[in-house]
Amino acid sequence: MRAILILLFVLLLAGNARGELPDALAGDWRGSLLVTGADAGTGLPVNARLDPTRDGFEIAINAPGAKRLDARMVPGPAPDVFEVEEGGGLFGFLGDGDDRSVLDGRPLLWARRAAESLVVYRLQIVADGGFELLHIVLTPAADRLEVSVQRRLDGVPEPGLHGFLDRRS
Amino acid sequence: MTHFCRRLALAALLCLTTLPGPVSAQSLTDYFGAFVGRAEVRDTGEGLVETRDIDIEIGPFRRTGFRLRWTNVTLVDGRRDVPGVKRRVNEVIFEPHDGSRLFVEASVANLFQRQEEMSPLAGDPVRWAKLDENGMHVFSFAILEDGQYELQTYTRQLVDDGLELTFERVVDGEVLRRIDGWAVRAD
Repeated sequence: MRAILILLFVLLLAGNARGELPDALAGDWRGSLLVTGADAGTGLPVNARLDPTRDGFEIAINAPGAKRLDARMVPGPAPDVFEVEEGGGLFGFLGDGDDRSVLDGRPLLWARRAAESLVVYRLQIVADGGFELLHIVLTPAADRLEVSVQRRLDGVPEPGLHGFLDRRS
Repeated sequence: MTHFCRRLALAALLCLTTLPGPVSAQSLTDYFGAFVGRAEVRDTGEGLVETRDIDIEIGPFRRTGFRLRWTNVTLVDGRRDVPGVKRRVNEVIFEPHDGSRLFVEASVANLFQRQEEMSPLAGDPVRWAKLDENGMHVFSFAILEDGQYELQTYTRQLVDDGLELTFERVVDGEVLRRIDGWAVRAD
C-alpha cells in the first residue's frame, strides 16, 4: 500500500513538472526590442506577461501594430512541450470551438521548455499557400527577461528582433 | 527614418498581422513533364557534400491537382555504376484545398475514405504546396518530439528548358541541409 502511495506521489510530481513554467519567467514585463545587429535606438515597445496556472501557464505578448499573442498553455504530448488548451482561445481572434485545421488557416501555437528558457512558436498558413512561422525565445537574465524573435515568411528568414524586458513593479 | 516609421517597420517585422499577399501564379500545366539533372547536397552540420542524379516527373492528378515523383541517385565519386550508390524514389500528390490556391497533400489510399484529423503536435507532418512567380514550392513541416520544428522547403523554378531546384532543411531555425540543382526537360 505504501509503495502504491509513493508511486502515485512520484507520478503526481512528474505530472506537475511537465507543466511547469520556469519561475524566473513568471511576471509582468515591459521593454523594447531592436532589430538584431542594429545600433541602439528606438525599439519596438513590448509588454509580456507570463503566469503559472494549475496545469500550465498563460502567456500574453503585446506590441503596438502587432496582433496580441494571448493563450493558455497546458502540457502537450511530450515532457516540456505545451499546447494551447482546447477552447482556451488563441491570440484573441479565434473563438472557442474553432475546429479548423492549420491548413484551413488556423494558427498552430505551441511551446517548449529548454533549460530555463521558454520557446514559443506559431505557424500560420494562408489561403495562397504562403505561411508565417514565428519563433520566440524567452530567457531569464538576472532580473530581466531576454527576448529573441525569429520570423520566417514562406520559409525565408526575416531580420530577427532582440532585447531585454524589465519587470513591472 | 522617424521614430514612428522605425516602430512601424519593427512592428511589421514582429509580424503577427501582415501575411504574404496574393501574387500571380504560373500555370500548373507549365510544370508538367519529365526532368533529369544533377544536384549538390551540403549538410551544414557535417560539411558533407554529395552529388546526386535527379529525375523528376510532374503530372496531373484528377482535374486540378498534381503528382510529383522524384528519384535521387547519390553518386559515388561522381559515378552511379559502382557499389555504394543509393537510389531513393519519392512521390507526393497535391490537390487544391477548398478551391483556394493552397495545395494540400492527398493520399491515394484515402481518396474514398474520410481523411484522418491531422495532429501536428503528435508528430503528423503538415505538407502543402503553392505556385507563384518564383516557382512551385512544396513545404513539409513537423513538430519534433522535443517541441522543436523541422521545416523542409522544396522550390522548383521553371527556367529556359528546365528546372532550377533548391531545397532547405531547417530545424528550429538552423539550416542543416541545402541542395541546389538543375534539371533539363526530357523528351
